[in-house]
Amino acid sequence: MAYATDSLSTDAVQLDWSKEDGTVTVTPRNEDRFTIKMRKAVEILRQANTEESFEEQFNLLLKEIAEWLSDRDDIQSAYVTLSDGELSLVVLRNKVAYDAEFEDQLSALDYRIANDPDLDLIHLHTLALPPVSEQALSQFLDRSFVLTYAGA
Amino acid sequence: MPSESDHISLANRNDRTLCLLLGKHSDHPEWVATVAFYKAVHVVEAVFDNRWSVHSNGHNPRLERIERLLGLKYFQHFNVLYQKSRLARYLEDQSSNTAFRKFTDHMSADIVVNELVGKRLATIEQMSLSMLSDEGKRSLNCVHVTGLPC
Repeated sequence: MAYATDSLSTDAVQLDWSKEDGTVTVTPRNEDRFTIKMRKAVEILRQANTEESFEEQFNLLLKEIAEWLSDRDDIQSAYVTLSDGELSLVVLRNKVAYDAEFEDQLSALDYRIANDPDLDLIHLHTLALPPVSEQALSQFLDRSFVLTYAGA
Repeated sequence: MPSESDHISLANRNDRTLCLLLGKHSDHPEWVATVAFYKAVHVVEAVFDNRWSVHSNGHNPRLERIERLLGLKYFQHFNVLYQKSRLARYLEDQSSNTAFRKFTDHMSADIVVNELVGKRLATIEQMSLSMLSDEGKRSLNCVHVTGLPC
């Protein structure tokens, strides 16, 4: 999986993920910046009353996404960000052409997360993009909160 | 709040616009994708009103309600329409040297018609019919599976 380009990296917190013994672990590259971003996201998402539960569910969500990404070879990069006051998973594919099967698989992930009782505080929507420049990508990312999946 | 019949009426107006656009779909694939999505919005809102007397005040609440009430298949078709209408309206990358520069690099005009109208929208309509009132069923102008509604 590709790394985000320089200017996006200025804003994004990078998540390293690895899969060993069938278990995915997700590690923020800079724990302090991750915590700051998380606080800001919690504030924006108005989850202050349930902050602790939200953080637990959010970490579970990051693992669920990393697990999904780890089985794929058709994705260039992926970002967890905010859109219209909710979480958004933006996936940059490595092929330009529309792929109906991919779209349905991403929607199935969206649906599974939406109906997972362990993620009931999470409101996440997914968006697939063809490979585009950082400038084009940036209109789908909220720079106040961007986490980048940096790869295994 | 708009009623089922209001939403069906709006869906049919979108259908008529779709008819016009499909005659020149290679000139306006972005608007075919967009109008197809907005027709689907009114079809699903008609279902919500008839079955649950609820209304959605935005895209995200609507998506979440579809996920909760209408099942995976319905959501998959609707979500693709939503996502592609967003790309059609907002994604252009002419100044970069990436392989993607404009919407039709991603979805050709023919794929927009066959996939978004002929498959995704047509399936949503067929799945919705059983959840509409008798009057709703009678009055909704459905696209044909060929993607040509006229």
